[in-house]
Amino acid sequence: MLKTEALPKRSYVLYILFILLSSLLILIDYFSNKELSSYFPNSVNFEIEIENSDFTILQRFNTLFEQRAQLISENIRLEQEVQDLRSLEIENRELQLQIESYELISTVPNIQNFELLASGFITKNLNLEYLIYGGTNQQLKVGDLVINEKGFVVGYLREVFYSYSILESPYSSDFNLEVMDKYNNTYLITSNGSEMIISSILLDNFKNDIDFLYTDISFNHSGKFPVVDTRLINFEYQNNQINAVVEIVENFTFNTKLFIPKFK
Amino acid sequence: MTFFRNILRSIYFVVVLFFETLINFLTGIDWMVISPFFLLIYYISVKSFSNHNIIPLVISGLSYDIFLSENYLGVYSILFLIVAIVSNYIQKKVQSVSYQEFLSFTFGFLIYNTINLLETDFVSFFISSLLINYLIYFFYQRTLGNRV
Repeated sequence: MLKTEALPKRSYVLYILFILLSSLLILIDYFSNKELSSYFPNSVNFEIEIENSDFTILQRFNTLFEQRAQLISENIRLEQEVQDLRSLEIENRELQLQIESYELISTVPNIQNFELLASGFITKNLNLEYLIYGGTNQQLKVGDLVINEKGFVVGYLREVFYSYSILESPYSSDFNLEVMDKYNNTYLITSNGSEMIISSILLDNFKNDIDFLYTDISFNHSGKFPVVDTRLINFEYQNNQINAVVEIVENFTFNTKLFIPKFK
Repeated sequence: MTFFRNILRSIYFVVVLFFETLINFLTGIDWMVISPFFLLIYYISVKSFSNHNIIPLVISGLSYDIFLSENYLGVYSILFLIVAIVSNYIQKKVQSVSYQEFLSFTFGFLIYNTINLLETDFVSFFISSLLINYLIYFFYQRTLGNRV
């Protein structure tokens, strides 16, 4: 009883020491330009490679039973054939899935000018940011656009590691993307986590019939991709300034297909 | 022995932390989070507060900073340690109050979520998450109580 009464204040000392130690780590990481925290992410590979198992063990027994050699070798040959067929079946299934995922996106205009790197979600972190497959191993870099199978931009890469990246999507309040309409008026899209806020930056020639807001190479984007369908949005036009709020309706799941377009 | 116990505890903590991120992604709910890792921190801080928890908490924070966020190394270690200290401190300080457990749980959970404090719908997000997590903690304790 006496021990529990006396302990509390003293027992925090080691905790506080470790807090200071962690602060030191932050400082080192800060001054080393994140060398420390990005060492492991830049060397970890999340991608799994499927290898065909070999049948050399079976072949060793071949020499022990000479009289059955022919039968065994035939057996091995057939087994290998079955194995090959199985791996071909898996490959075929994977290709079919890939074709399916490319089916919708192939209808997006001018998409053939881009090399599309397929990606998908890994998980969501405590900062409500999404982790997706693909990193520096696929020549991805910070700021690369990420589009869905309909060709709409779902975000951009905020941080890129070796085999995975952090996606800045409209679900994050740090989301911030410059876009353009078909009359070259420029807008800024930000987010409060549940809604996208569109505000005009420069309006030279505003007309009511704008259909989409696009990304553009003039903003260092990889290409022109729609971000928001503006046909059902009511814009508030005041003092040569436009503002609108759009609810985010897209839900991300493991099945959401993502693509990172790279200009060919 | 202490070394192995720390290693095993750290693995356990990291698994729970990664499970938390995965479960919140799988449920796909944006207006609240289920935080088994917070429940673990709170439980150990209130029921068995000791220096043995420091290394696992620091390692969990470091693994989170390394693999799941773009923060500087050590940010989450500090956060987890502060959550543990504050939960324990409030629990001990307000022992006279009848709802002391909920109070320390709320403060601990608030610190745990400080990183999302700037979100516009933080209040509703926080309240719903707090209630669901407290409910889980409450029923977990009830189940334990019945077993004992």
